[in-house]
Amino acid sequence: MTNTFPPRLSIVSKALGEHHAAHTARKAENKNALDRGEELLKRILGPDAEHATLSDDFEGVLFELDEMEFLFFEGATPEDDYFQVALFGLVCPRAVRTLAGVGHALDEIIERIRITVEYIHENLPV
Amino acid sequence: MPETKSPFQYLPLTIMSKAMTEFEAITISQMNAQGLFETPENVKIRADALLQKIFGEDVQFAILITNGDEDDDLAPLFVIDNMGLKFMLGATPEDDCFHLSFLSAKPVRPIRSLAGMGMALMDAMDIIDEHFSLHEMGLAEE
Repeated sequence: MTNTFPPRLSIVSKALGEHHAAHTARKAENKNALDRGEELLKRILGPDAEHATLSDDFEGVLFELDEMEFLFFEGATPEDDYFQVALFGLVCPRAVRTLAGVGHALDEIIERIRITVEYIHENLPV
Repeated sequence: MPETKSPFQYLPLTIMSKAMTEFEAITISQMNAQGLFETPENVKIRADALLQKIFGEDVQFAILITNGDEDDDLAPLFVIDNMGLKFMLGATPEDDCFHLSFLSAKPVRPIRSLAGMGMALMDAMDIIDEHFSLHEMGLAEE
């Protein structure tokens, strides 16, 4: 921490500059969202990624695998790319980039299902 | 027992099970004496590491905001150059991210790099722009 602060918005400006540079580099690389999505999916699932199918029923990049859905979001750099995982139509908003992250998202979805089912049971008429 | 195979060359729910086992192994290995995964120390160390990675030497200008009213909320909030950054602990350091708030706009994009921060700032500006456009037309929500 320091008392000598930089001019206002200079770090904001740096971040915006970095974003524009990354955007230009991305265009030059000529990779689309599907390429980036496939790369991240392979990194997360390893050889299991080959079983994933690309949904043709969706405008963006959505992979389906083992009852799960992986919705891809392209970030400023590959490091900012992520998936949102859905199970039985329930989407976990958590950004996922690893297999353990997928487990974390599934854990949260299953907990939501458990709470919902418990609530339904408690409120069923006797 | 005869081996059953699905038409997809893997048994149903096996990949889900792999992912959940991986997460469980991590939570167990990182539990503290009270059996908690998300401890204030764990969260603070991971947040500092990601903040350092994003901002480099500019990290010295970040200020940690503590709020006594929100003791249950372990997610640290940093302020740097008019930006608010709330840390989200992931399953592994690679799943960690920040969420930005800028001039009261809160884009949902998770941030893990300086370029990602710039992209989130652009999202925030779009939110502000849209809000003011609606306001001019008298359609803004109070």
